[in-house]
Amino acid sequence: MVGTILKKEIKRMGKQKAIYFWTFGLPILFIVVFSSIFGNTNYSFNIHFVDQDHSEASNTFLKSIDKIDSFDTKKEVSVKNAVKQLSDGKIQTLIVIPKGFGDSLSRGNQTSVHFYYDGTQGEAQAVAPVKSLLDNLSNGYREHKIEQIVSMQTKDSQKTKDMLASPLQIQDKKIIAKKVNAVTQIVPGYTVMFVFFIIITMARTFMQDRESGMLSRLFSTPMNRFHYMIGMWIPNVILVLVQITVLLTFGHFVYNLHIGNFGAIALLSVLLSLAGTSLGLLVAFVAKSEQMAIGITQLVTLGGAALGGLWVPLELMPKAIQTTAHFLPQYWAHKAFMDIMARGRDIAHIVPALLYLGIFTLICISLAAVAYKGFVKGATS
Amino acid sequence: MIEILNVKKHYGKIEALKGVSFSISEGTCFGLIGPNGAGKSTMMKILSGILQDYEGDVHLFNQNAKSDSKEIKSKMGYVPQDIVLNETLSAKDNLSFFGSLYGLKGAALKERVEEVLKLVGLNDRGNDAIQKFSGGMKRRINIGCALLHLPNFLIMDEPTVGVDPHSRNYIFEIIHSLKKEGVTVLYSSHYMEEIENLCDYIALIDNGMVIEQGTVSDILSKYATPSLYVEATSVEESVLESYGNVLRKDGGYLIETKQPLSTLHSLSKKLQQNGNDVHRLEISKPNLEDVFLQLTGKSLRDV
Repeated sequence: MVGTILKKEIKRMGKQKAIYFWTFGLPILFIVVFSSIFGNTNYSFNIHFVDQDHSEASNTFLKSIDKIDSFDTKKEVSVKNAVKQLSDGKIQTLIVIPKGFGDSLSRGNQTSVHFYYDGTQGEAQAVAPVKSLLDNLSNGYREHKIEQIVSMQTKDSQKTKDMLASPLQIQDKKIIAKKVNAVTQIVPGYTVMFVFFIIITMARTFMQDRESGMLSRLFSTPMNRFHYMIGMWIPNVILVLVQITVLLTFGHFVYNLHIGNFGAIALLSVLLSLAGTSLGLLVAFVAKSEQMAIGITQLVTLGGAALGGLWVPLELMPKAIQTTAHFLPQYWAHKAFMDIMARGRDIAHIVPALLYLGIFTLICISLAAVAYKGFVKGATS
Repeated sequence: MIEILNVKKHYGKIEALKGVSFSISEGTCFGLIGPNGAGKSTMMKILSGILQDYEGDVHLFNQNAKSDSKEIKSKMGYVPQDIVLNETLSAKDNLSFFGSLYGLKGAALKERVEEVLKLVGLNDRGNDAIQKFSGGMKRRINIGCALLHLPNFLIMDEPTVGVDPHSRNYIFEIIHSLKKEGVTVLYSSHYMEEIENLCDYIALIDNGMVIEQGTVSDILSKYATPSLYVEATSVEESVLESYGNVLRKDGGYLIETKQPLSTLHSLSKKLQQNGNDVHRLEISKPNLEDVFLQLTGKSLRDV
């Protein structure tokens, strides 16, 4: 009997075009948009320049900028034209190397490089790093000059270096987490968020069956009442599993998302599907109307996403929200996905998340079974 | 034999059924008549096993409706008042779904689906989605869904509401063929001519109580007194009362009289003398609707 309802429901779902959009289309759109905004790890600052000197010294100066990963130089035809572009907001920074730059340097005279920038407050983020870079370069020239003077006195290059060494040394120690980038946060984040949108689909289906008289008619057949509940639940579990698979596969092939331990991902996906759909059952049986169900779903999905760290890393949130997150299935599911994908963890390391999702499912199913009696009563009276 | 004994049903403070009793013989078509809210659908939901929290006894096929519910349900079919189908699925898918719920599968299910499609006259539309069907065609599939498992007892709750004449005739043919096969039918409708044509026995139900039951002919001969029907402008009820008992009906008056011909003659004269503009003046053939009107003072469709 469960199989009959399950088969019918899968067939019915397959003919609902809206399901494809809400389950696959919209999440993929979100992933693409947010990955495009935050997922670009090769971001660099463009520095436009006009070289009026054309000397070896000016060329060396520009090359020293190009050597730095995050900065690219772009040649402009004339100062007038470049300043016009800056005024129009088309470029944010411009340096002009004046004629005689090389000569002045070789003679040890002071010279200058003109730095034009967009003074609008909103562009400060693009200007500040360039200004800082230019200050550093200027300091480099100054240090080089001091080093030459001191060296002439000491006649010992090592001694000169020791004398000019800064008392504070910053030692870089780079630790690379496996494949961590913005996409590692975005893909599982939006996957977890959209899993819970199944609640609307489920509530709508159950309510339509009740309002249309389908549920009442089914109760005139030999079908057990709980067979209906289970038969309608399982197709949604399958749908969510397919949804997770499609979204993670999309992330893997389009954004090189590292999937990690397959067994752990599979088990986590099953438990997440059960958790999301069991909450869907509960909402469908408790909500008095479709509008109420949509309201609850928005609260669960958007509230859960914000508080569960799906949009913004939880470390950036206030302490109280970090504590609250521990009560949300979204937090545990997302944390487990991150552990598997970014930190290479296996099933043993995500047991707390699996336990949480399992217990959450059991609680929701138990409450749904109680609420189901009232739902059925509404259908038959 | 189907027996309903002193059945009571409450919806909160509302008493929908107040001790209803009647019985249905096997192989007959039994009509349940009453205005909206009389308790017909509640009675049908109890018989179909949808409602289980009621007082009283219901026995079908010598089994108790509550304790042997599953077994009884497998032998009966229920056609609800509303069209209850999956609109995006095809007619075949809908029929197969309901057939499967009654345990049919494989080749037997396929065969029955084809037979039922033929029975309801839609064998060339089996693969079309229900949403492409007319209201009448949907009604026929709605009935077909209750016939897949060859039920012994069929409950039909107003199956011809909003149906075109072509589909209505198809539905009547289906019921006649089921009767021939010995299927017991419980039929509810607002259309008295349907009840008179299809049903062998009837029960009139009002305010949750059976107010009369028996064969159609017995009830008609018991209650239907000869009468005149008159529709005229500015006619006063007090004038008509001098000819017999007067009841309002369909914008006119029904005058009960044992001598319809002579009353027709004298009333005709009177109306002419009074200068009334007469639209209709005729001897009325008594029907179930008149009986219902006589017993309850209510018209079946206006309540």
